Order: sequence, then structure tokens, then C-alpha cells
Amino acid sequence: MAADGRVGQYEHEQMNPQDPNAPVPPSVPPVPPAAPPPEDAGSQALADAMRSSFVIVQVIMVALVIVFLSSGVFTVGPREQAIRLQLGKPVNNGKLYQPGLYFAMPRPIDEVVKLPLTALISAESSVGWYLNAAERAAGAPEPPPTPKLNPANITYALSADTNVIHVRATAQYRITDPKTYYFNFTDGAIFVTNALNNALLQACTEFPVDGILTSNRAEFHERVQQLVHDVVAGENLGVTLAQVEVYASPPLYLLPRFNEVDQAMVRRDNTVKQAETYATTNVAVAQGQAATRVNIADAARKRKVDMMAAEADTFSKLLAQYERNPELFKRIKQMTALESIYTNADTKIIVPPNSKELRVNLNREPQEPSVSNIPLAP
Amino acid sequence: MKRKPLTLLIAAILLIIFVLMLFVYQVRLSQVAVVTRFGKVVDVQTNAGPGLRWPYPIEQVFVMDQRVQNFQDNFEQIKLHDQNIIFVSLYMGYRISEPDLFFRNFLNGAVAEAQPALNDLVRSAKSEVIGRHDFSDFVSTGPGQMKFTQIEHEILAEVQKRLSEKHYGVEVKFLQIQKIGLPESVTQNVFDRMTAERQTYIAKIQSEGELEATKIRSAADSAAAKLLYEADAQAFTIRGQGEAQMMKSLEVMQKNPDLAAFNMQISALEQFLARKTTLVLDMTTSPLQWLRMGESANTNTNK
Repeated sequence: MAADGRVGQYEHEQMNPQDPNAPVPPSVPPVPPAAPPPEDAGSQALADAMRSSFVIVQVIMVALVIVFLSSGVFTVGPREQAIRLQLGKPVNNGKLYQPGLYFAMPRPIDEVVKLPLTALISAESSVGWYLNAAERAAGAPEPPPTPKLNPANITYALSADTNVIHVRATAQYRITDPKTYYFNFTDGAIFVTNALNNALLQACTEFPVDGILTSNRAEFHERVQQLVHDVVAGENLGVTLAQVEVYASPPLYLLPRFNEVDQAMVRRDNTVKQAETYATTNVAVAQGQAATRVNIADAARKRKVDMMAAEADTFSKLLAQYERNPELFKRIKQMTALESIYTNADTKIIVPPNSKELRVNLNREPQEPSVSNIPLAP
Repeated sequence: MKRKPLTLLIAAILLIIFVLMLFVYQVRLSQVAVVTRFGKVVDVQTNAGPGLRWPYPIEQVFVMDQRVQNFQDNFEQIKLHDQNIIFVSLYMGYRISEPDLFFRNFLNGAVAEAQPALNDLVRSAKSEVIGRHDFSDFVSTGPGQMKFTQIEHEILAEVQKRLSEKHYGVEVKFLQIQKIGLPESVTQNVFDRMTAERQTYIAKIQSEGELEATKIRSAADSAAAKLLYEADAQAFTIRGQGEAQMMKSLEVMQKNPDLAAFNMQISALEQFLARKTTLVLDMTTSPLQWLRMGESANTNTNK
């Protein structure tokens, strides 16, 4: 600061009166201080600028320190868990932070790794189908049916009977152990996808094509699910499978042939159902007829027995009269019967004496005849 | 003058940070680190946490990802033992098991550097193992013949063996068949066969349906006939029982068989002629002859 000796001298002299040990200045009239020489304007401006810059730098540094220290504050969202690494090592033996506000040391001392906990994650197989997942999502049209498949372009599976079949699967899974899922595997989703691929291929090689498509469809689906579960659980992926859906289709080129088989199956079912209807009806009719025959026989039995009992009763009552005069008895009974017969007859034709010929029209079921419509030959 | 301590504090903090950055490194969870001194591996840190080092260029720290890595080899054709050809692609999960070995084998311990070497190794092992098998080992309707999983295990064992021989410092966690296929020309033959199978199947389905329908109808007819003849037998029995019951009444009539027969004849006649009867009578029929007797008397008188 002492640009020259005089300024220092002046400052020193100004201070002396405050010092009791200082020599008393001579009693000479004070000499007015010489006016300081004018400073260089550029130097002054530079000094001011440096002073201001230093203040700004200090403020920025303080702000940076504050920002640095407060950068450790973090929140864990409602669908998240977090793990805090201190110098790379999990804090509290990898304790998972639940949703809330927490404080951690700033990076690079602490690092907070947030682990998303989505409700359900979907994964799709990437082999076995004629369209990949992206094409399906984009609604791409089916490729044209071709009489042969280039394995480089279209993937498929092989069935147990060495046939070609298209299969795909989707899995819904939940991350139940996020620490394992995120820190043991570089990409857990790809592992699930590949587990689906492998399960599909293996399951297909265990079933014939018709079993996969129709007769053993449920067993095939169960087998795929079981294989996916086995792989996921065996590799300790940290996820729990919620659902696995499996789809299968014959090759597009052979789709009409497979449809013909379906139609043949429908026809077979119809034929069998018609036969079953016939059987049901026929047996029911036979049951009815059988019951009727038994009932008729029973009714006839009862009627005969009752009639004979009545005859026996009548016989007992008439026996005494008959024994008194059998001829008369017979005559009377005969005439009584004739009276009843003649009276009840629908048509009575009396042939005149001396008639040579009588013509009568007989029908299987006689009409209501009358005497007038029967021609009588003279 | 009041700002000096704060300035010093900040400077000290910055200095500490700078020194820490120079001398301390950290290994994150799921990572491993290899420390080299003038290019020579001097330390391997497999546990997460901080570590000390001399600043560059004295020591360098190479951090590697120890998580299970994905690996998928090429989809390529392999000749089988039975001379068939099959396309197979594998999927493998592996991790760095020995970081120093991995670092020595692959530049800077980069996983990407390991992929070509692993690809060659896996392809070679795959060709050798699959080449020992027949096509029926991959797909077969016989449960004992299918060796899909066994082939995967064999390839895995072969890959692990070769990896240990090569000292790559890599451990295979699992290996699976990812994709499978047939040569394009073979798929055409398969389609032809499948078409023929469909036709055979359709014929079989139709004949099965007809056979089953015939069986059902035949069984129904048989059941119906059985019901009827059983009913007839039952009816016959019932009638027989009736006859036996009638015999009791006949015993009463033994007192005068002539009267019994007469009564029964009269009853039968009355029932027989009870309805829809047309009687054709001449004048000699009793009691019409009485009319005739009167006529003859008149005739005689007229004569």
C-alpha cells in the first residue's frame, strides 16, 4: 500500500499521539500533509475488479459447497425402493429404503440407486413366431404364406413329430427382490424373455403338433409355464411370475390344411352327436314300448283273472237253476244272449225268403252302414 | 479479514477432495476392480467399498461389472450324427469369476472384448456336442428318446471345460438353446409331409366319426331290442301268472263242466258281437222262424 515513503510516514505520524511512550513532537506548526499523488485510474479499476471478482468467487464457492452438501437429499417414490452405497458399499448391509425423504452424503461419497417397483412387467418371447414383438405391436400384416421357411428370416419351433409350428408366449412378472434383479443381472428383462424362448422350444419338442394345437393344448401350456418357472427360480432372478400366456399356430402356408382338419373334426362331432341323438330317442321309445307291453300283459292278466272270477261267481249262482232243467236254462240263456246281440248289432240284414243271391260290400273298417245302402240281389 | 477462514476451509475441502480423488477409488456393489502398477496387476478388489491407490500413472484401477452378462451366439447350421442339418443358437449367462484372469485376457477387462472369444469358444463346443447327437435327440415323441435338456447340459459342461482350459476368468451360470431351425429346403419337405399327414388325418377323423356313430347306433338298437324282449318275457310271465290265477276259478266250475262251457260260450259270443257288428240273418234263424211259421199258416189258409 505504501506507494511511497511519505504515505507511510504520515500514517506513522498520525499514530504516534496515541502512543504514550512516543517522543513529543517538536513544537513547530504542523505542516499540512502533502496531497497524495493521484493514483493511476487503470490500476484502481483493476484492483476494484479483482476485489469484486474475489467476492463473487467466494460466493460461488460457498454456494457450490451448499449445493454439494444438499445434493445428498433424496426421495424414494411410491413405486420405488432405494439402496444407498457408501463409497460403493451398501449401507446397513444393503437395507432397502422405502418411500420417503432421506439424507445421504453427496456423490461420490454416497450413491443412491433407485429400484423401480412396477406393478407388473410384461415380457414376450422373441423366437418362434412369424412376426416379432415390435411388428406385432405395430400391427404389421402377416407375411405371405410360402412353401418353405428361411430360418434366418422367420423363426419357428419343432414339434415332437418333427413338424414346424409357430409359438409365442407372454409373461407377466413382478420384481420381488429388486436388489437381486438389478445387482445380479445386467438386464433381467432379457433373461425372462430368453427363459420364455427356451421354455417354448423345449415344450414344443415334447408334444406333437396336433397336441400343441388341439388335443393337449392345456398340458402344453402347463409345461411351458413350468419350464419358465423352473428357469426363473433356478437362476434366482428376483422376480415372481404372475401369468404366462402361450399362443400356437400352424405355419401360414399350411393354415388351410389345418382348417380342413378342424372342419373334419366338426363334421365328426356332428355325426357322433346325431348318432347319440338317435340312440337316446331309440332307447327311450323302446323303454316306452317295453313298459306298454308289460302293462298290457298285466292288464290282460287282471282282466282274465277278473273275468274268470266273475264267470265262476255266475256259475255258482246259476248252477242250481241249471240242474233243475238244463234244457230250459240253456234256451233261456240263449235267447237272452240273442236279444242282446241283435239289439247291439249296428247293421241287421234279414234275407228275404227265396233270395238267390246276397251281395254285401265289406270294408276293413266298416263305414256307418245302413240297410238302405246294401244292395240286395233279388 | 473475516473471509479468510471460510476461504481456507473451502480450499481445504477442495484439497481433500482432490487428494481423495487421487488416492482413493471405490468399487461399487456388483463390481470388481483390478489395480495395476505400471501395467502389472498388483491387487484385485472383489468386495464393494473404497480402496487406496497411488495416483496415475503409478497405479491404475480397472473396474469391471460382475453381474451376469447376456450372451447369444450366432444362429448357424450344424451337421448332426445322422447327417441331418439343424440350425441352433444358444443363449448363455456368464459372469466374471476371476477378475485378474479376465483382465489379463481381455483389453482393459472390457466385457465387449470378451464377446468374440466367447463366441468362438461356444460355437466350437456347440458344434462338437450337437454333432454327436441325432435329430431324434432334439425332437421325438418317445419320452425316453428326447435329450433336449441333456444336450444343453453337455454343451454347458463342454463350454465350462474349455473356459477353464483357456483361463478366461469367466464362469457360466447357465446355457440354453435359444433358437432352433431347419434348412430352408428341408422345411419344404416338412410342409409336404405335413400336408399329407393332414389328409390322412382328415380321412382318419371321418372314419373314426362314422365308426363311433355306427357303434352308438348299434348299441342303441341292441339296448332297445333287449328292452323289448325283456318286456315280452316279463309280459309272458305275467300272462302265465294270470293263467295260474284263473285255475282257481276253474276249480269251481268242475262241479258242472257243461254249464261252465255253456256260460263261457255265451259270454264269448256276447263279447265277440258287442260292437260294429253286421248281422245277416235269414228267416230260419231263431227267433225269426216264428215270423215264418205265421206266414206258412196264412199260406196254408189261402190255399
